[in-house]
Amino acid sequence: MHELSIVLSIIEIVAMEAKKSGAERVTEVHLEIGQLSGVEFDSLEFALKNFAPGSVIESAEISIEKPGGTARCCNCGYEFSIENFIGSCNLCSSFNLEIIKGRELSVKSITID
Amino acid sequence: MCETCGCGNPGEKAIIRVPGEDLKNQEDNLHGHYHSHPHSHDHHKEFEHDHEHDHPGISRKIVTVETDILLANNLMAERNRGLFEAKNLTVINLMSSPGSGKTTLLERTINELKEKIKFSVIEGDQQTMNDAERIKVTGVPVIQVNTGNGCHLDAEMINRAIKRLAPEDGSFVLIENVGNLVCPSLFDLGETCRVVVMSVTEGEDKPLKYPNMFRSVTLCILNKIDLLPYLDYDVSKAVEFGRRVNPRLQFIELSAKTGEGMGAWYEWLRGRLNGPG
Repeated sequence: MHELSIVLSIIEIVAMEAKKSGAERVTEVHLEIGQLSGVEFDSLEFALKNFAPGSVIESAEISIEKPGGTARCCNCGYEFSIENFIGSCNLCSSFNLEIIKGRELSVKSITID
Repeated sequence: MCETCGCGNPGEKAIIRVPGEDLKNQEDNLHGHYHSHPHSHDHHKEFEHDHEHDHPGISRKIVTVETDILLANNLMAERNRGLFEAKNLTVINLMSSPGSGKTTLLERTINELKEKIKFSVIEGDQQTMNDAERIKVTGVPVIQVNTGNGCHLDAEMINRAIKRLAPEDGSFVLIENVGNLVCPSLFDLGETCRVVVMSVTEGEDKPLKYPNMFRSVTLCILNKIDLLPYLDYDVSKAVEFGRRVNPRLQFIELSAKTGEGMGAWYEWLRGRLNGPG
């Protein structure tokens, strides 16, 4: 359940940005969490429900962009989409893959009043 | 988050102490958190929904943030890394599922090498001083981090622990992370190297089940090989699965109980004195 830590970090980042911008209220939080980031989305939802009340994101709508995985083969350079780390290159079968998309873990933007 | 004291980060709740130390006497331990945290809100937003809200008369503004959620941890990890470099410390982060034999591995390693290499140890567990007490018997400095509800060590805990541990320049610091193959993989501690310990009483497919962990390490120790005659465990399969998620993964097969194969591990450790390798 590192998702608890993830949510607390999100709240910290949002609180800092809201303060900097002189926000009265945060109405939306836009996150980008890749499908290979190691975050379990159900656990994240649970953690958000538990930690949002009383925090800066209490009345904010949370939207999450969930980019899928893209790998680049280190052997032949071919780029293709992957669902997990176990795949091999579709062209040359090499397991030597670099993950170039899908590990995102960031607060993209917030909407404030 | 807690309104009473402003706490909230699980990292802040970690209790750090040496064996035999009384909690009450420890100022570093941020007041122990014995107060309750009631949350009686019955309204909260659904996770994802796409309806629009209008707030007439109130100006709305979108603020671009673009901040890595793990930024605070990663910055602290870099501070740790700087500290380790300045003190010429070799810091090994050992991770595994519970019961794979990490503490036994540390005990034997320290006992057999302590005349030649200076060690100190940071033990991470949710509760108890048990592992620190075991390491204390070896005679090397040890500090226990109890993460409470936390499922992993983070860079801030290591920063606090390392200052109290005050390891000798040029020495090895062995970190035994909380037994968990999921969460610790995401948290950079500033370590020189990451190692996963897998025992042959677990399934060969652990690397496939926990790819985030096996991708994040440079070495996999396959422990408890003295039990192989009694098991159907296929070592070559485990190695194959490990290399499927991490083609550069090194393997060392050993038994921390009997001592078989420990030489390769010691050689690997000595090789880390000059950096990650």
